[in-house]
Amino acid sequence: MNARTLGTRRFRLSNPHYGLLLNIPGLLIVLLWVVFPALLLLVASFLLYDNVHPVSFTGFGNYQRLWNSRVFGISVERILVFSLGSTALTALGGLLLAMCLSNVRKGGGLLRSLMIIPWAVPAVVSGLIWKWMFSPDFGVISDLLMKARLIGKPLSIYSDPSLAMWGVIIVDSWTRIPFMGIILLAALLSIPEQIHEAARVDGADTVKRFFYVTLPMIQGPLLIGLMITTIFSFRTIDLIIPLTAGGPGRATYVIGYYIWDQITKSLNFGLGAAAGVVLFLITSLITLIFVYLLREK
Amino acid sequence: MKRLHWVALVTLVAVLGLAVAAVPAWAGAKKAYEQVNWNKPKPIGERVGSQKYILPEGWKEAVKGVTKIKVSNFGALEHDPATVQNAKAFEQLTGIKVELLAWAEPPIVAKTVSIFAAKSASVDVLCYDHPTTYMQMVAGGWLHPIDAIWNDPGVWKLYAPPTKKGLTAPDGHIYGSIGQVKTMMLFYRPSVVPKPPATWTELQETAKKVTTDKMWGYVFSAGGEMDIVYPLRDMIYSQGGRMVDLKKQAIVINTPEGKNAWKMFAMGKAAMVVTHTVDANRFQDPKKAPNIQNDWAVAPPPKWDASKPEEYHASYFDIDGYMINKYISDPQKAAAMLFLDYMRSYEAHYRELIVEGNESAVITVYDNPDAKKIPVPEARKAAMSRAVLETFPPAGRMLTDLIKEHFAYAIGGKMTPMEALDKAQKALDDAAVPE
Repeated sequence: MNARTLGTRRFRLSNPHYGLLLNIPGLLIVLLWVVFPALLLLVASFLLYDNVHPVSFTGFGNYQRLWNSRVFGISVERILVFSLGSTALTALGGLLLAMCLSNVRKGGGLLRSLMIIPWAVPAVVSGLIWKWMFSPDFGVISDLLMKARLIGKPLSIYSDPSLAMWGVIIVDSWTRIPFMGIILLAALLSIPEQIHEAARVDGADTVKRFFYVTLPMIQGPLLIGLMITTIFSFRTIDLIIPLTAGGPGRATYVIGYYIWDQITKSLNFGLGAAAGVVLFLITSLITLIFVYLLREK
Repeated sequence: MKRLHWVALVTLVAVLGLAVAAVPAWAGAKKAYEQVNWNKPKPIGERVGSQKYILPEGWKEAVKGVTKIKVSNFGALEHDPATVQNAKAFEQLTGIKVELLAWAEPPIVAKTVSIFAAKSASVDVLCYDHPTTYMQMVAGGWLHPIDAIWNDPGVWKLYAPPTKKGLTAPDGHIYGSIGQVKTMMLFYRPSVVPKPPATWTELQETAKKVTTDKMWGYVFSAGGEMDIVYPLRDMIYSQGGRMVDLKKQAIVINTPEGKNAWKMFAMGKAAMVVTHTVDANRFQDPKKAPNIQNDWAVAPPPKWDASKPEEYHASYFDIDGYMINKYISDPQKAAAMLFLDYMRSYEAHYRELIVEGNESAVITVYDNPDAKKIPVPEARKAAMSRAVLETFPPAGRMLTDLIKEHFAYAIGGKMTPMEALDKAQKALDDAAVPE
C-alpha cells in the first residue's frame, strides 16, 4: 500500500467517520432553531408572564387556566373538526387526483407540474384568492351557482357561522391535495401492472381491484400522507387569518389562533406558551399513533 | 520594598484617583436626549403649535452622529402621502433620514411585540393603533419615557381634551406621541331622511320607516377588529355610561346603559350609518360613492333620548401615534424624540388634514382657511371636541373579541340578546387578568 492510497482513504468523505462531523452544522441548526426555542417554550409555559405582573414561576397555573378556559375548549373542538375535515378531504382529493394522473400517458409530466401550483402558493395568498372567489358581492362561485340556478341568493360562506368551517376546510384541502397526490401517484405507479392483470384474470372488477389490490398496496404512503397532513392542519393559522380571522363568532377559531391571540393581543406569553406545549403534545400523540400504524404495516 | 513595588503602588493610586475624579463627571453627564431644551426658544405649546414648526434648542448636539431613524408605519406608503411628506420635511429640517417601514395590518402588532420581546434595537420608532395597544406596550416596560417633550401645560391645549388621558400611563409617565385621531358621526341621505335623528330612539324609528327591499335603514360595519365595539361604545356614551370600570380595571357591559345599548344594537340593520368622520372623504368622491353625490349629510352621533344632556351626543375617541423603543442608543432616542415632536406639530397635522384627509389632532388646524377644501370641516372639529376616550384594561384587545363573539350569537339567533349579554359579561370576567 503506497502513501497515495493511504492518503485517499484517509480523506474520503464517504468514510463513516466523517458522518458525524458532516452532520454537526445541521445538528447545530436544529439545536439553535428547534430544540432551544422548544425548551424556552416549555420554560415559559410554567411562568406567569403576562406583561402585567412581574415574571414569576407559576407551576401548572397556566395549564390550569387552559383547562378551565371556555375559549381554549372551543379552539380544541374547532381544530379537531378542522383537522378531521381537512385531512379526509385531502386524502380523498389526493387519491382521486393521483388515480387520474396515473392513467395519463401523454402530457403527464406537464399535468404533474401544474398540479403542484396550489401547494406552492403561499397559504395567505390562497386564503385571499378563495375569499374573493367566495365573496357574495363579486365572487365567481356564487355567480356561477346562481347562473346554474343551484342557489337563489349569493352564498355568504365566510360570514355564516354554520358554513365558515366548511369554507376553511375546502381551501385548506385545496392547498394540500397536490402534496398528497404526489405521494400517492408515486405509490400507484410503483404497483406492478402484472398484479392488476392477475386480478383482472381472476374476475375482479374495477371496484374490487381498488379495494383489494390498489388500496392495500398504497397503504404505507397513504398513512405517511395522512400523518403529514394531520400535523400540518393542526398548526394552520396563516390561511384562517385572511379568510375568517377565526370568526364569525368563534366558528373557525382553531388552537393556533388562540396561541396567536394570547401572544399578540393579550401579550400573555406564559399562557400562549402553555397552549403551544399542549398543541405540541397533541401532534406528538398523533405522530406516535401513525408511526405505530406504519410499523404494523 | 522593592522599587518595582513602589512603581506599582503609585500607578494603582494614580489610576484609582483618576477614576474617583472621573465618577462625578460621568455620573453627572447628560444623556444625549437630555441635552435638548424642549421649552426653548419658545414653550413647547407655541413651538409645535405654530404654523411653521420650530426646532428645540440643543437638538443638534443631542443627535450628533445619527444619520437615520427607522419608523414603522401602518400599511403601504402610497396610502399615507401626509406621513411621507412629513418624513421628508423632517429630513430637510434635521438632515436625519427617516426610513418608513410599510408594515401590513394585521401582523403589525405581532411584529411590534416581536421586536420588543426580543429587545431588538432594529426599529427606533414604532406606531400603535389604539390607546389600548399603547398601554399594553407600556405595561411590557418596552418604551422610552418622553415626559420631557410634553412638559408644558400649553401643549395639551393644542389637542382634543381626551388626548392627555390617552397618553398618560398608570405610572404617571408619558411614553407615546400622537399621530392621528379617530371619532365617528352620523352620516345620512337627506333625500331619504330629511331630518337627521337626534336620539337613538328616533334613529330606530326612522330606520324602520325607510327600510325597503333595496335599502337598509341603518348599517354598521362588522369586519374590523373594533367594528362591533365602536358603535356599542357610542350607544353607551350616549346615555352617559362608560364601558370600563376604572376601580376594577375591567370591561363591564351589563350596566343599565350597556343593557339598553345591547338590546337596540342586537336588533340589527337599520338608511343611515354612524361611522368614522374621515369617511366624509369617500362620500364626497364621485368615483367611490357615485350614487350619493350631493345626497349625504352629517349630524352628531345621536344621544340616547331627549332627556339626556347635549354633551351625550358623544362618540368614542381613539388616538394612534408613535412610541420609542427603549433598546436603542441614547442619540437615536434623541432623534426619535425629535421626530415625535415634529409629527405632533401643527405643520405635520396640517398635511394630515389637508393633503390626506385624515383628522387632525391639532384642533386649530380646522380653523386654517385651507380646511374649507375638505368636506364638512366644522362638523369634524365638533366631533373631536365631544368625544370620549376609554383605554381598555390589560388584554383589552382580546377581551373585545369576547364582546364580538357574543354579539354574533345574538344576531345569529343562537342566543337571545340578553342571554348573550349575560354570557358575554361572564366571559369578560373570567378572562380578565387576575389582580
